[in-house]
Amino acid sequence: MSFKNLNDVIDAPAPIPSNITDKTKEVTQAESHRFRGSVRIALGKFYTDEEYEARRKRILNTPLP
Amino acid sequence: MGDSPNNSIASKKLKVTELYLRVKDLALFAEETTPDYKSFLQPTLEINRAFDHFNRASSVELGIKTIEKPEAYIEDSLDKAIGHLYRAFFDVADWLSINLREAILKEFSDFSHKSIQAVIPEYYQEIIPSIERVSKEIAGLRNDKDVKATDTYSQMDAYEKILKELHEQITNVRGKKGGVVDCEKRLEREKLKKLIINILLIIMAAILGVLGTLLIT
Repeated sequence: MSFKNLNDVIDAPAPIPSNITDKTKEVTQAESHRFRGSVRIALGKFYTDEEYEARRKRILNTPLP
Repeated sequence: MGDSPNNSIASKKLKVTELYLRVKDLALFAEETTPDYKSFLQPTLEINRAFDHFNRASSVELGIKTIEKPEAYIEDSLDKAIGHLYRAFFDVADWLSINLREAILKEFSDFSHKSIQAVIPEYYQEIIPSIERVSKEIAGLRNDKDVKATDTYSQMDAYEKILKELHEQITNVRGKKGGVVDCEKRLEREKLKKLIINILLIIMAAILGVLGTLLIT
């Protein structure tokens, strides 16, 4: 999709993913040679939404010593 | 008396920048405490969304986009940016509180309440109640998608303060873990000693019983 002028771009939704999934991790690692950002992200060292929620639930449901 | 549109816009822009800096500060802190060096990217996505709304406001303010009622558009875009930054903040606060809770679980799960209480009296009086309260309250705020309450800013101050204090307290109690280990060993030795004494007493009572029976007969 291309726009005729900047006015049209301003209110267009930005290409920001709404969820971090296993696929996100897979693609990030596979394409890490194109990536100039954080090493952690390039190595796939981030939680997917599912992993984060599972970890959160496990920790919150474990009684503290 | 309400603010003029320009004052209101300026104060909202100030709020966007302040919020962004607070999110960044807390995120750097949370990243240090996360196990396995893993990042949590949802706050970054919220920051990206805030940046998009902020630039919508700027594009009108700088004349890139011309519309009727520009002030209303700018204010609305800045409000949306602020909303995303609030969510980013509470996502990061939630992440940090989970990391701190996990640190406690990893460090002290193998010890008895008695040893922990003996060596770290503040553990049950201050640390555990704080972490229980904070993790529940932050989770509640994080789930509230419309973080627009007037007291959100003061809640942010309070949680930031508590989380940083908790981190400090956890670092301090980690330093006392050696004492808890010693105490646990001492308690186990005492328990074993008591058990041996009880067994000896039972054996002696049995012997005395047998001797008594023999003497009578």
